[in-house]
Amino acid sequence: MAYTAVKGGADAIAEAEKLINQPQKPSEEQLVELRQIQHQFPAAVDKVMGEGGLYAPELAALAVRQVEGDLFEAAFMLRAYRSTLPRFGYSLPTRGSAMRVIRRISSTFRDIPGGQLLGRTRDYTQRLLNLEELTASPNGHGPPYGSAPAAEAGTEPATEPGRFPKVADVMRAMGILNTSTPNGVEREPDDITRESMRFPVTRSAWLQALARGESGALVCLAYSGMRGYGGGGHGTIAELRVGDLPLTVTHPLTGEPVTIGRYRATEVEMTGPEGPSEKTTHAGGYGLSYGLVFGQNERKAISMALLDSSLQSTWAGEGNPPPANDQEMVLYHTDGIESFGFVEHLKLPHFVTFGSGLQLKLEADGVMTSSPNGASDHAEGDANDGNGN
Amino acid sequence: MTITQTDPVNAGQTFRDTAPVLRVENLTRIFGPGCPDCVARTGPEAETNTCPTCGSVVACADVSFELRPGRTIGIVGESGSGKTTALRCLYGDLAPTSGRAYLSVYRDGERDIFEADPQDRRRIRNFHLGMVYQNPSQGLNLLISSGGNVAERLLAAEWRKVAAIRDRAAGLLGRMEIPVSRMDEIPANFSGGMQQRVQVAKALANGPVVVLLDEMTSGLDVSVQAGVLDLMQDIQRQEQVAMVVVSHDLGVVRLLCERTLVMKNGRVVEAGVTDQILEDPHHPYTQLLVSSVNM
Amino acid sequence: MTATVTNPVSTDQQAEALPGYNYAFLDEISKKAIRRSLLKAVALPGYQVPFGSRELPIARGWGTGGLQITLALIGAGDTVKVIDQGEDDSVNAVNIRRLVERTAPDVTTTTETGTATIIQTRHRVPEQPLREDQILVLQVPLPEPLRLVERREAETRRMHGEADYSRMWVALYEDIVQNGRLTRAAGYPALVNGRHVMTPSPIPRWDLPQLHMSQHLSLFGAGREKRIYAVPPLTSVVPLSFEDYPFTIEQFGDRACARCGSTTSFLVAIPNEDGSVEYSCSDSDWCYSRIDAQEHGTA
Repeated sequence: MAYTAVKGGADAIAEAEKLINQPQKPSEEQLVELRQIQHQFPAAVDKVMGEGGLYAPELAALAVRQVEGDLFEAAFMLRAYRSTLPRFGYSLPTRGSAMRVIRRISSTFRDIPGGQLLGRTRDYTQRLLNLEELTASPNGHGPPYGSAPAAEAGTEPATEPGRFPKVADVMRAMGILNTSTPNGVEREPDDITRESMRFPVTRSAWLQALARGESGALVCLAYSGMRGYGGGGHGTIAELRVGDLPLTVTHPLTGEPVTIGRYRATEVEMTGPEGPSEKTTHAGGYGLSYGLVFGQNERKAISMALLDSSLQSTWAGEGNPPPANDQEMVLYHTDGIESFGFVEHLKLPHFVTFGSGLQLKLEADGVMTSSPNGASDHAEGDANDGNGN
Repeated sequence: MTITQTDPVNAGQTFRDTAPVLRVENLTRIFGPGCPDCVARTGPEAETNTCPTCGSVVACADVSFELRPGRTIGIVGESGSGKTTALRCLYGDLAPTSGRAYLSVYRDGERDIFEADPQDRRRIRNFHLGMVYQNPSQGLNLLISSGGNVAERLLAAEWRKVAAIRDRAAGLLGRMEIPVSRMDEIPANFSGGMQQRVQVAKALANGPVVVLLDEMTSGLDVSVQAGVLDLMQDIQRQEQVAMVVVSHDLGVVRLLCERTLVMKNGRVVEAGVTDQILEDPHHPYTQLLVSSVNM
Repeated sequence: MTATVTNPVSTDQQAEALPGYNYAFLDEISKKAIRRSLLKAVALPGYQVPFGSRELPIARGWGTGGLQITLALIGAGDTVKVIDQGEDDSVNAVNIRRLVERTAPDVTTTTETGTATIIQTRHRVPEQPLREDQILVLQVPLPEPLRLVERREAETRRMHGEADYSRMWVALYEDIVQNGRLTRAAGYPALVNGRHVMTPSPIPRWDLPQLHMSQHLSLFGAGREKRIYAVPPLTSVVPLSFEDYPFTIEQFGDRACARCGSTTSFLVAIPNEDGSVEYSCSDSDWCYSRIDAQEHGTA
């Protein structure tokens, strides 16, 4: 029977919840430990934290476990939890140069001051399924991926902040970067979690929206721009760095800045003559666009920088701007929590709206007659008197 | 900079007894950041619209004129002379950088329409002005019926009876020689000349005091142009509607306009009675313009 | 089908609030911000107030706008009713009601329209007219009525600002030209207080007159689109229509509810396997109250 047409919704929902909680749910001892998720599925944890807009590795791991690996749901859970936390204040701005770097590369130069640091990456490995692991016992020969202590796996920053100068600063010193910072300087950054976006939005607002965006959605639109559907073109990575950034706040009593922790982040600075198209102060200057995301999520950070570039450029062509250049298109459709929620709401009953349309159709087909004066037997005698005041 | 006044007498006397329906004072529009040098360093003497100091483009500056009821004024000049920008500022598509404009029907002509709040500005545009764009896709929604396009103006003026709206739209379209049988058809199916005639029908829908025409025949074949211009002359004769006609074509201006402004590099360089300007152009640029066409 | 007595829902979960969570889920600063937006919405009937929509443990598109309003308003002494398509027992309504119960234990929940102080609804307005001490909270999927004629938010905000609704009217005119009548079914656009065009959320046309000059306050929440708007009591809500093509409500001819026999309520079709169709009230409280009254001979 229909899922709302009769009473019993409460029972049905209770049964559904039982199904979630019982048959497949592992027992206490079978549960994957949160620490294991953090260590063995860091990419999932990082993605969930970024899209959830909350840096909380343990809670993210809990969410991933609780939703059985559905990362949309996990990010959503983190965001929902975030709604319950009061906003005490804002951290102070941080420079990327304050990062304790575990990985940093530049595509613009062969050698960069401080040197390239490849770090831990799957980029240059062969993506072969390790079939031996199918037969090996979990605790048998060969260490399972990622089970080594974090420091050995190369995820602990061994470098001090400042050891690697920013490539963007180097390019600035070379005089090849636009010195003007169009759209870049604002009084206080906007906060789209407190005020909804009003178009056209400021750069700080779109950077925040992109940082919370769904990784796949950002990749899709950034890719469309690279392929020629508008966008800021191909771009070149001036610098991608991964590492730990300090979280600094103003001490409520002393008023002094104090560092209260560190968080893992990926930062990308993208350059290209076809980037920001504002008036340049000297010919041939390169524009700069920016990406910063929680954890190690390089494809999202790169996509964010590409979209920052395309959103900075003004569409000068005929007709509507292409998707990647269109603020409303990009920012309204890349939030994973919003898009998956609305797409899946189609599972909710819609029989009233459907029925309203059906009545019109039946009336049109002559199955029912429509009188312009409305139903005289309506509960409210003057209910149809919509035109009067 | 000097404006050559071809007929100083007429300017003051001919229309003395009728108040202008439209008065424009020092209309200026600058694209870009702008700087104190912008106006001084651009114009016909400088032979450029681009300010050498800041790179801004001075599309038009200090454009002033008056328009009497039922009269037509022309604005001629090459592309980039600023005539279309001035027109679009008046219609409200663009905000002017400075300058004032007064419409007799808005607060008795005593309030600058550029200072009107957005809701008033919208009403001025919907009730008192009409616009015909060079490109029909700017003035029409090509994917809704031509009747619907005309109806949009009536609906904006709070017509709320479909039968009355359809009567009025059919009348206007018929007037513009669009068969009534095609009023529910989308203009995307129409020829360029027909699309322009639908635009005129739409522009006239609410009985505006001023209709603005921007290069309305430029995109049309010469044979089609003649037909559209004939219709416009009919409209001039039969309706009490004033017009501003922007064109690069001196022939169009001669046919429709008693008076004409000549623009170059964003400035009015000559103004006066059209026939006098054509017969005895004073400004060197106007002389060049007139001599380059076989009138 | 049996009628059930629909008195306040069981109270076994009301012992204490959800551990680790604030009262009514949202933190108090957020609730205050939402209430400020509500005040602005009431001051400007039909105007869509942008607000910093929070994420909730209910998915976007599943009623988070309405729920944020409800959570920001409720407190001790409130009685909350939640319906979806008119039904209290619809799974989504149950889920939302359970969240209220779990996070605000001193709030009573009910299925009775008459005793509720706040009624959160998706796609329906209760048949029984509401009183001035009741608030109707409507869940809104797409708050922008002009989206059908203009996809850009910056442009639709300008259109509202300038009361520039001619393109909306043209769409209605074209509807008549093409179809011979107005074919908009649910979510019929209306002019509120003579100024702002509003979508009443996807309620059937049947419900729209209930918002016009009503005794109660109607609040509309769109969580995903981050907009709140309101129709205060005694405010005009006039469906966009023409003198010669007036607004009409759904017609059910001589159909009656198969359960309670009602001919004066919005009916939904329930198809049988052989293709025949039965009808029943979509407002379950309306329906069950009638059955109850019939059984007790008080009809």
